[in-house]
Amino acid sequence: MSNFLTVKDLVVRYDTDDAVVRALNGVSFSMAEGETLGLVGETGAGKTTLARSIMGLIPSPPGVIESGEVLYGEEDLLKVSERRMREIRGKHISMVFQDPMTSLNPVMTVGDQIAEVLQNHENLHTKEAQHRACEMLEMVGINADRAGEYPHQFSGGMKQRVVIAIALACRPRLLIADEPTTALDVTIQAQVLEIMKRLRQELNMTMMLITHDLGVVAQNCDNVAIIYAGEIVEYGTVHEIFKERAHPYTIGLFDSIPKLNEDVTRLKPILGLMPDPTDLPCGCKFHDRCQYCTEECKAHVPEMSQLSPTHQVRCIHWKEVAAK
Amino acid sequence: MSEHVKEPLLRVEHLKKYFNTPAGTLHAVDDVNFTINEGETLGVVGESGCGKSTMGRTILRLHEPTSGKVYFEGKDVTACNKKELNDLREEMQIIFQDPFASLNPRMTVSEAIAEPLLIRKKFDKKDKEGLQKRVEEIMDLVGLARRLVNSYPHELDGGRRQRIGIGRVLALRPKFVVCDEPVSALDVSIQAQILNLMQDLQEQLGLTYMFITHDLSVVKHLSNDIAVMYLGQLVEKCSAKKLFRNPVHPYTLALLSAIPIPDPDVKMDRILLEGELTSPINPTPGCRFAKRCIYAKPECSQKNVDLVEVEPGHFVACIMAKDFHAKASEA
Amino acid sequence: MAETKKVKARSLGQEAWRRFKKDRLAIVALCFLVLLVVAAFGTLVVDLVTQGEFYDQYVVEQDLLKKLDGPSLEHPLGMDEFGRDILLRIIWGIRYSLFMGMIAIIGAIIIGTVIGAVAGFYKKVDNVIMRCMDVLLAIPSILLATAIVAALGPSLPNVVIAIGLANIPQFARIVRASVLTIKGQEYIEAARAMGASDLRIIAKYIIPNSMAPLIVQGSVGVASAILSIASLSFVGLGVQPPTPEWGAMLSNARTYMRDAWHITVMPGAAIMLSILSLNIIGDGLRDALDPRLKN
Repeated sequence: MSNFLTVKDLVVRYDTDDAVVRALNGVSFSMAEGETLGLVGETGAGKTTLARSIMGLIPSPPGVIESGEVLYGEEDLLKVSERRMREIRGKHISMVFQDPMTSLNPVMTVGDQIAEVLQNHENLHTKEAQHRACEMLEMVGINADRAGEYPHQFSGGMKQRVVIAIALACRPRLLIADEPTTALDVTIQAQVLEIMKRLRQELNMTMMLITHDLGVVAQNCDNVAIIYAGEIVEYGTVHEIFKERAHPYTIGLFDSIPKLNEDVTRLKPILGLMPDPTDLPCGCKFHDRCQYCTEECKAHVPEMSQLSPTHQVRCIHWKEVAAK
Repeated sequence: MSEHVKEPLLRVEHLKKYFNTPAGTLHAVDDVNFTINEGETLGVVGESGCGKSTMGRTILRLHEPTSGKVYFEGKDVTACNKKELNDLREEMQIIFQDPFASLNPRMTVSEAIAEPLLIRKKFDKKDKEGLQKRVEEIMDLVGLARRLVNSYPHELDGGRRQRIGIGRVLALRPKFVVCDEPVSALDVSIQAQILNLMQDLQEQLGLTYMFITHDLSVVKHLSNDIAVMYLGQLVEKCSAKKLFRNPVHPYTLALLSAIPIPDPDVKMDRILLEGELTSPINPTPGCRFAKRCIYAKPECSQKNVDLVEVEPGHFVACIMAKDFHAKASEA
Repeated sequence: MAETKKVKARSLGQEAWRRFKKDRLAIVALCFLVLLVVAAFGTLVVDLVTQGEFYDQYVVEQDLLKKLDGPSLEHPLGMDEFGRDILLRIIWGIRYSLFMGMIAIIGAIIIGTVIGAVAGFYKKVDNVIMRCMDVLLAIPSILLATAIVAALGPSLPNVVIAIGLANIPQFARIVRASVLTIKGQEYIEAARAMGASDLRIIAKYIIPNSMAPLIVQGSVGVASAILSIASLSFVGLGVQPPTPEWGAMLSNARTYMRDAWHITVMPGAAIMLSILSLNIIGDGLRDALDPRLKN
């Protein structure tokens, strides 16, 4: 096991006025330096909560980290001081958010926004920071002449590139990208993904790519974690997940998406709805939507079964499921 | 290929919709022509800002067209007066993209579904039982549990809300439904449920759809024909199968290649487009895609390019359409 | 799983009330206000039953022997400059201060809503209407009210009209702003696609959805209306003596401020407490109606 980033048994809940939202229920995984992990799940599965926990950005209240560890090297990010965390954010770990429209400051030029990060973390002179900011813009494919422009003068795809430039300004070792291309058109998405791929190689960056788009995962990730109702239900290399998937939810997810490369006349959706995170079912969280469900599934939360050194599945019937 | 024995249900001729903006005239829909046969689905695909939603709304006259004609069952929609239009709207309906924004938050499920029936005076206000029965029928039809009858939209998830949206539209028994990105706001597993529902309803009720989306894979198995739009104009239109097997227009090619394929073993051969979508404000003559097109020649920007039929039923707006088509057919 | 549970539907209003109930301070304020309203109705009943005798005898009738007496068991808030029980006068004053404020604001809300809805819905008249509103807004509301009362003569109905009129522009603005937002929502377009008439769209779609900011502003508006009524009475343009209006009481008492603290403090406290509780209720309502703002 590598020790670049290890998340151990992370449990996060939100205490709202009415109920307790169980966002993460014991998430564990680890990442090796340089790998790209795809985190796949539907709305409310806990993807964004996981990303925010790693960044130390869980809003509290209402968020409460009940237990668990987030080990970055030897450091537990859940225990470090706020000061240290600020140092880590941006310089060691940075994040790209889904919506480029709202994650930029509208009253600051894009050049200044990039320079600001550099000044905060690397004590650069204004001039030097400006110069580096222009370099960053060139790196994401934006002409450096546009550094003096404001976000509203850029289109959606361009803004997302600026956001990426800000995130990468201090050459972080880990980049968490939370649905970075969901708000973009396909042709623009292709451009942005291409840039991210290139930069990842150039900077030897580790990346966590949060998305619901399996196509994006297939083309960009080394490993994949499928997350459902705050638990990782399947984890493996991209090949294992796409070719040898063994969790009923993963299979359902793949059957639900219309595919361009196959001829399907009818989709096979997963029955039912995502469970309500304030009222999760007992046992396996997927049991009431699952065709393999038995009494045992309802009684106990299944443990992770090891299918191969890299492939884990949280299902007691995985042999049966995988055989199909 | 479908033979045009019958008059198509919907015929759109030279439809234009311009908006006046401070920056100039925005050609949102510019000289669009197509037909949809009864019981079939036309997929309209394009990126944001290409005018596909505006086109759907202009056909229903939710926007007044700048010029052009829309014939529905032979009747000119653009010439209707207010009353005729309201009558026509029973037969032509629209499902919206955002199930959160398209429902009145103050109306329960049953009120929302009953609303069109009351507006169109299908039921007397006093006939509560009859109305209730019809609402329940519709709820069954779109797969909404009857116990949700008094729920409010904010209590329901996106999939169920979209079912209300569909139910509300079907209450009037329309023939033609414009579906404006009905599933893009939904999660994949729910998206599949709604797509299947729409497919079932089409079979049961003989509906004709115009399915507007940015996601080619979504329309692939739903549509008979697909029209690709770029900056207000149709650039390619043909049967769905042909579009995926034999795309001709360079933009269609780029669009298809940009969709990430969910299979790690398929290495994608992307055609990366340079630049971004601009908006068609005061457009200059010529092909609007020319600036981003890798095959662009000087002629492309000189005069307007019309749709050419490269083979029966396959229309492409490109001056090199014939050459591309020949090349595509070889491969 | 939710499937098996019986579904109990809750409208947005019910949701808001549920959230409002959790705000203790707002509930205390609401209780205080309800108490005032009940007391005011009580006075109406008393007046009706005794045919105004009680009012004449205890609220208006002067007893100069007891003038400026401090608070005692018999008269918990003391006596005023003419020896009248301050507590009773404050209670009888509720209907002039609080009720008149409420009536003025309700009137302003109704007229403002219509004006705002029309302005927001029909682009053509928007500019004309809103410029008129801007002109009204440009005049300080108390000055406007003073001018109106001066023109119509100082009397209770005229005060209500003046304060109502002065408050119309702010409600018209709020409604117009929310109509403009709501108008762009897809559900309005959906209603249009069903062939709904403009009137139906305004009445069933736009107005119910623009109520939330209006209710919040309304409760704060009543507070400022009470203050305006009191101010007008204070300068002698409002309610005329011996009618026990809080502002008038304060005004009359100020000459004796050095001799008897209680005769200015008591009506002042009544004004302050009712305005405070209305403002607290307004804040509570805002949190309840728009839960996004709270976190």
